[in-house]
Amino acid sequence: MSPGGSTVEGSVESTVECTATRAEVEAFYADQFALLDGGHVDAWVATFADGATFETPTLSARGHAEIARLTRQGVEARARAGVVHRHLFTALTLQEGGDGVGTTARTYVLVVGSDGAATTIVVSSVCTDRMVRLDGRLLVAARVVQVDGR
Amino acid sequence: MTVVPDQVRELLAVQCQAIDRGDFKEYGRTFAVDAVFDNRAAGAVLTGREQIGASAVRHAAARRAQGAVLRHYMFGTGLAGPVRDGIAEVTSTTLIVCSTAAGVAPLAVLSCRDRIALADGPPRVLHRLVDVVGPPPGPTAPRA
Repeated sequence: MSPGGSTVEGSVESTVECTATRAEVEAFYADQFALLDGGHVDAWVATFADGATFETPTLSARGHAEIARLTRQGVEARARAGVVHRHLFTALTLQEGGDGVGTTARTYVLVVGSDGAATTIVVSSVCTDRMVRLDGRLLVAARVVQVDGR
Repeated sequence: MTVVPDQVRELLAVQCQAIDRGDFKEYGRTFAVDAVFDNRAAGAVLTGREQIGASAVRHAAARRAQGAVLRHYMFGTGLAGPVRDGIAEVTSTTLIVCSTAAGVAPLAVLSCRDRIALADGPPRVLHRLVDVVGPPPGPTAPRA
């Protein structure tokens, strides 16, 4: 979970609300987490809307450049340590908002890490996303990650 | 392969989130009024929505006393057969993860078999059979 209409001139505020199906959001998360776990930072960041916000208990980022910088730091640190992360998501619920709010997706995310010798649970968390649509494509406009135990 | 109806996936997701955040009213609503919860992992058979909810409340109080947050990660949800007469037989596996300020660890892996009513009202669990899968999970991983 490192650090969703159509967008006009790069503003999340000008996105058009979207309605997303469960299958669509599940496919979105499968692709998005695979990009992150594969270290494809630029493609991962492109799944966020311009001006998107990303908040965790320990960091806060806004916009593609900032989200990319923080994500790349994590990807590079894991590569140096020889650790591979996998993000597993379950318990997805969707809530349609009112005018201009769009779909809010809430899902559990379990991060598992492996260094080749041992596999451990790194983080148990809840990810809440406001989704928007740009040219038919789902994007995250705002993500809040709640990490259990912190 | 038979596709699991979205209603079932939504019901189970709502149920996991409700029990984990301590919303026992919503958790109880995911069961039929006269539902049966055969919890072989705990050696208990609970009958009725109220008893099922009360049991969840007791467990939650014990967790809070320990400063622990539990998450029910449900995987591998599938249909045991075609939906008949508005009732789905659903199987799944649940990994329960326990987080504290000290770390995060798997607590148990459970197999779950549900009879879920999809007709005549909102989807709800009529019968649940839960059992433990495999040996106790490994040690707690320290916080990074």
